[in-house]
Formats: sequence, C-alpha cells, structure tokens
Amino acid sequence: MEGRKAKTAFELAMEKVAEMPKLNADEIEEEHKKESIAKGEAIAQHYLQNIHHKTDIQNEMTAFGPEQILTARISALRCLTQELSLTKPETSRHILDGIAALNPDVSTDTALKRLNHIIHDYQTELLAAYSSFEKTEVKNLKQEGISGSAVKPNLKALNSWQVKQAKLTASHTSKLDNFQKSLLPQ
Amino acid sequence: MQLEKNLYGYIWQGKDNNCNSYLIADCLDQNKHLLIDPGHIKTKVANESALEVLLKGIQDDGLDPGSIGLILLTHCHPDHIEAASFFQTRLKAKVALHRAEAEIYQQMGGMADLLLDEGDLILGTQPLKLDIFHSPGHSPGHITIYWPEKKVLIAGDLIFYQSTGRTDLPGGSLSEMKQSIIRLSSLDIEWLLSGHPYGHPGIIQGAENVKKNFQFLLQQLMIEP
Repeated sequence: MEGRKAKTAFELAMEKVAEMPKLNADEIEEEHKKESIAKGEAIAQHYLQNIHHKTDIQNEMTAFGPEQILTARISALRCLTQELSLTKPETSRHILDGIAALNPDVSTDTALKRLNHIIHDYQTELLAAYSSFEKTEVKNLKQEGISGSAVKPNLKALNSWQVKQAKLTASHTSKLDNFQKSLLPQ
Repeated sequence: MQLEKNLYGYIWQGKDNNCNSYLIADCLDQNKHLLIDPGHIKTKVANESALEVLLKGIQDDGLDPGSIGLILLTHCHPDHIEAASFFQTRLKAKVALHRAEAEIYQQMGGMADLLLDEGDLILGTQPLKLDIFHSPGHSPGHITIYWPEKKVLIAGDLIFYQSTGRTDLPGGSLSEMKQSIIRLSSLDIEWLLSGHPYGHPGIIQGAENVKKNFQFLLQQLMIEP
C-alpha cells in the first residue's frame, strides 16, 4: 500500500472513459447532428409556449456553428410546421411568424392565406357533411316518433358520422401535409 | 304505480340513495314507452338492486321494459343516470339529456343519442307533446319536463316536497335555482313529480298542493312569489 494513493471516483470514471474506444469522425458528426436536432426542437417549443419571441429564435440560431445551423433550423421548422392544425386556426399566425423567422423564403401573410384556404375548405366540407347527416338523422328520428324543437341528434354517437368525419379529416390532412412540407427550405 | 292514464311513477323505497323514475307509456311508435331517470343499477352503499326493482315495478304494472324506446335524463348525476346504459345497450333505447350535460355524461362513460335544449319534444303519431325546460340550479344542464295535456311537471332534483335540490355540487347555483323555480311556478300543474322521496314520496298531487309547495319554496328561498 505504501506509495500508492487511493483514487477518487472521478479519477476512476475518467480512466474508464479513457479506455473507451474513440468516436470516429462520422460518429462525432452524428452526435453533433442529434444535439442540433434536440436544440432546434427546444427552441421551437419555447417559441410555441411563448417563452421565446420570434426575434429570440433568430438570436438562438446564431449560437450554432455553420455546420449545425441548417440541421437546427430544419429541426425547429419541422417542429413548428407540425403544430399547424385544421382545427386550431387561432394559433396559425403565431406559428407562421416563427416559421418565417427561420425560413426567409416564407412570408407569414402569404402562407396564412394558403393555410386559411385549406382550413376553410375543410371546415366548409365538414359543416356541410354535418348538416346533411343531421338532416338525415332528424328524419330517421321522426320516423321513430321523436321530433320537436327541443331535440337534436348527437352525431358523436353515430359510427357512420365518425367514419365520415375521419375520412374528411384524412383527405384534408394530406393537403395540410403538403403545405407543411412547402414551408421547409427547398 | 299508475298515476294517470299512461303515466306511471316508481317511487324509490330502498334504504340507500336512488331516484324516483317515471314512465309515459305507449307514447312512441310501436307502443314504445318513455322512461325518465332510470336511476342506479345498484345503490352505492347498501348495494341494493335498484334496476331490478325498477324493472319489476314496470312489469307489475303490465308493461314490458323491453318496449322502452327513449330515456330522458333530467341531469347527469349517477343516482339518475347509471341504469341508462342498460336500456341503451341491451334494449336499444335512445338516451337524451341536455346538451350542457353531454360532456360530463361522456366523461362518466355514457354517450347520449339525443341532445336536448329548451323547446318542445313531440312523441309518437298521436302525438304527445312535452315541453322541455332548461332548469339549471342543481346542475348546469338540468331539465324539467312538462306535459301540458295532463298538467304534469317532472321536476328532477329541482323541486321536492317542501325542499329544493342541492346547489353545492359541481355546477350548482342557488341564484339559477331560484330563477328556475320562479319560472316553473307559473305553470298550471296538477302533478308535481320529484326526483327523490325525501321524507315524502315526492309526488305532489292537486293544483292547490302544488301551489302551496311553490309558495313554501319561494318563501324559503326568500323570494316574493
């Protein structure tokens, strides 16, 4: 034991690290990429939660090196575009402002017009389908001897309505998907 | 128990809490019946078979429970709604309640087929007309059902004999209850059918008795009638 000094836990850990195989250049690049993706997502989330303003997004991006900035930017953009929704038009402008801050090719007003058009088409079709189903169901109820100003069918309880609504949503979601893709750098 | 032609009352006589149920017979197509507030399947504390008691009561009156085509729920509290699922899933009856109670009903595992607002409900080819009143106070979407032809008011948990429903439960409101009771007090009522047998079967018969009950309640609520 003489002349030998006990090692601290930190020293032992560092020895183990030193024994580990070194990452090659590709693996290092992969690690940096993962880190940039995570940071990009975090920046987008902070913006969505109103912790960050759109100018903060741009400032945050300047912290990335030239090799990471594109990955982080695309990651943040993907995160923001995925939040665009057919059913929450009230959030559209805020999200598109964030997207425009990350992608200079996007103009908030132009993108908002296109998105509102998609949402309007969806809601118009949905409303028309709802009215048509409701009309049919009111007729069915009358045939069963139930009518009057107090009563309306609850379409949520109808499987056929659930199926119709899902189909309509799916068809308009594909339009929204294409729009979301168009907001990413080409 | 038959109260009037085509009107039946099932007064809960168990030890535990459960509601009174009411039935209007032969009012839907194919001689189907309307049932109001089917109550518990089993009571919560004493585990009494409330639904079995109700089904037996209906059969004893010479009616077929399988012919119940529509369930109206005055409000969405478990002691009024639990057995609705039995009639809906086993007997294919439709369930209706006020739209303001639909979400909570869904959270409790139910799904209403019909949503109600204030207005008229026309049943069958005869036809039979019921007035649906939105009567909040005990719960936000509480309804009372008035049958003008027979001068019957099915009052749910808004009005009892010499008392009113609780307003301290979620969504309850004393001021809304006062307003609801004032509105209903102007109706021409021969039968006031309450949602519980609290110290009294819950059935008040005769226009004079109904009027006295309203006067009592309005005094209790410190409102000038």
